[in-house]
This record gives sequence, C-alpha cells and structure tokens, in this order.
Amino acid sequence: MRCGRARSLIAAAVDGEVVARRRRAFDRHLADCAGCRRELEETRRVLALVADLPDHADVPPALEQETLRRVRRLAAEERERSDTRARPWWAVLGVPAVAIATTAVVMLAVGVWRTGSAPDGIEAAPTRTAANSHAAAPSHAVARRETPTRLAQVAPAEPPPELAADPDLFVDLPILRNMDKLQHFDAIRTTTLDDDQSNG
Amino acid sequence: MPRASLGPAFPVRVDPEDTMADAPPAARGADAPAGPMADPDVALMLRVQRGDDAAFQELFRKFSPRILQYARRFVGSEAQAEELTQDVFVQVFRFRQRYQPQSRFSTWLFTIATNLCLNELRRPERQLRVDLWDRRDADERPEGPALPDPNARTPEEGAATRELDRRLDQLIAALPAKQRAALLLSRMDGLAYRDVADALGCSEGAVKALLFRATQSLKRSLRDHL
Repeated sequence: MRCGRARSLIAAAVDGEVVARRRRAFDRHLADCAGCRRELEETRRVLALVADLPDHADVPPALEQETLRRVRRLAAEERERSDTRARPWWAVLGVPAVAIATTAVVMLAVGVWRTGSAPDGIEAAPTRTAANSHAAAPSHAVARRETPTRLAQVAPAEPPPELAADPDLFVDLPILRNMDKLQHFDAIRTTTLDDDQSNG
Repeated sequence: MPRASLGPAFPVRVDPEDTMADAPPAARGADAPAGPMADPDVALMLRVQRGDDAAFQELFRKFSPRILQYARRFVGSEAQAEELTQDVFVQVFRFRQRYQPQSRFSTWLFTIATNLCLNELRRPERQLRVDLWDRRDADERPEGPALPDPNARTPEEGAATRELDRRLDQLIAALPAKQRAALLLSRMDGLAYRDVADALGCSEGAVKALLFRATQSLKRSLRDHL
C-alpha cells in the first residue's frame, strides 16, 4: 500500500470502518512509514476534538411549546381530514346544502314534466291523426312522427291532408287544442286559395 | 458524543464478503442493541405512530438538544437552528406513519435534520444572513458568551479550551456542506458510515472521501493545536 492510499483510509481506520483485509495492508504500511503514523495520530486527535465538542444545546421552553403547538394543530387537521373521509357525502355537505340540492332537483323535475307535457300534447293529436290517415298519405304520416321540437322548427311543405281537405276546421277549433294547425297556417291558406282558384 | 472507537486500539470493520476476516467485530457494534426493535427510541416512535402524544413529547425532550446543536453547527444561525429544530420534529410527526423500524430512530431523525439543513443552506436568500452572523463576535451570539469549562484545571486552561472550541466551530462551519454533514453525523451521533451514507444519499465510499477531505482541512488549520 502506498502513502496516498493509506492516508485516504486514516479517518475510516480511526472509526473502525476499514474492512479487515484492507486493514492488514494498512497496518503493514504504517509499520514502515513514520509519516503516515504521524498523520494517523493527527487525524485521531482532530476527530477526538470534534467529538468532544458539546453535542447538546439548551432548548428554550418556547421552542418546545411552539413545536408541540404546531404538532397539535397538524394532528387536529389530520383528524378533520379523516372525519371528512369517513362521513357520507350528504353529511359532508351539510343539511342546508342537501336541502338546496333536493329543492333544485324537485324544481328541475317539475319543470321537465311541465315542459314535456306540452310537446306530448302537440305530438299526440297529429300522431293519432296521422295514424288515421296512414293509408291515404303514408309518407306524410312518417314525417309527422318527428319530435315536437323538430316540428316546431321545420315547417312542412304542405298541410296535413285532412286540413287541406277541410280548412274551416282551422278557423273553428280552439287554438290551444290545435297548435299544429296554427303552425301550418300559411300552408293551409295557400292550399285553400289554390283550391278556390282551381274550383273557380 | 465521544466514540468508543477512538481508543488506542483500532477497531476493525468486518466485511461480510471478506472470507479471511479474522479480526474482532467493530467496536461500535459490540455494545449496540441486538436490533432496531431493541432501541427504546424505536418503541417510542411506534407509540407515536399509534397516536401517543406523550411519546412524541418524550422524543422531543430527548432529541431536541442534539438536533438543535446539530442545526446550529450546520447552518451557523441560532434563529435558523431553532426554526429547523421545530421543522424536524413537525416532519417527524407528519411522516410518522412512513417510519419503519429497520434502523435506529436517531438515524432517521438525523436524516430528516440533515435534509432540512441542506435545504436551508441551498436557499439563496440565507447567504447574507450567515455572513452577517459569522462576522459577529462570539460574545454577541444569542446564547451569550461561552461559560467556563467545568473540566478545566486552571482559568487559563479553560480559556484555551473555549478558544479551541470556538475555532473548531468556525472551521467546521467553513467546510463544504456535505463534508460538514458527514463529519457531524459521524462524530456527534456516532452514526456508522452506512447510516451517514443513507442520510446523505451517497455511498459509504463517498462518506469516507468526505471525511478524509474534512479531516485534512481541519488538520491543516489546527496544526498549532495538534
């Protein structure tokens, strides 16, 4: 073993951290090298001085109090998070939030029901009508099975045959029970005029 | 904490892979507990894991003086050292469920302390504070002037000891952070190189190299005292 290698092991040798095989080589080198023996002694003394430095400090009472206060606060936060995870969702939200949500759901359901009833009424009459006139005008009956929303948006190119055949029905029937006739007003009138002209 | 291995006879580490090992076991291992579970501090920490507040307070009272002193030497600022000591124990509590009794409790504790101290030293805004603190006279430090050495035979000897300690503190503070950490961990808590390596996130060989450079630097500066 050379001096450079031996000196790099000196601190570890003082601490007993050199494996046995290498230690034997180290010891053989020391036996022949006065310079490394001196290095070893100096290292041992330096490490002893460092080890003899006070390793305890006086902890101010305020430091302990503040640390324990922070830890208790952390523990309380953890407990709170744990409780939150353990409670059911409706308990987490609280009674007011659940009440508000329930009310909103009920109102939404009522709204949907009321909104949905009108198109159903619109659709029901023409569907029944279309079913009755299916044999006479099958292509038109298929068109009448469209959804109420679509019917409201897309005006048909021609009135239903029964209206075209008897346009007075439109004039006499109450509006609320004949919304689709109102929607087809222009088509009906055009058909009637055409019919009148052709008749004339 | 003086190490048992500083006696006249060199302790020798037995390498488990060394089939020719015929040396006695390492001095540090001779009086060591049979395993981590025999460590009373591990038992305390396990109680902390079960929610025992008194066990945490006991751990704090036992280890905070050493952690505070370690942090003082590491960051060189009393106020910062106190903050770091708080942070160390808050981290111990926060991550208590991650602790596994596979090694001594103090190894885990000093690993946390070392990481926090290294993080503190990396903060760019703290450089100025350390410089200011280092330029103050020792008697102006928050802990006040050094007390007489109770082991000194004469006042002159006591003054010389205090002067040497102060000089040594300055030299340690001037070491690069990792050399300082390796030196303090291996001296003050008597951690094995393997534990120091774990705390610093490096190999045992790197710890040896850090200690070699640290002791070389100290020897050069303390030549007059050796």
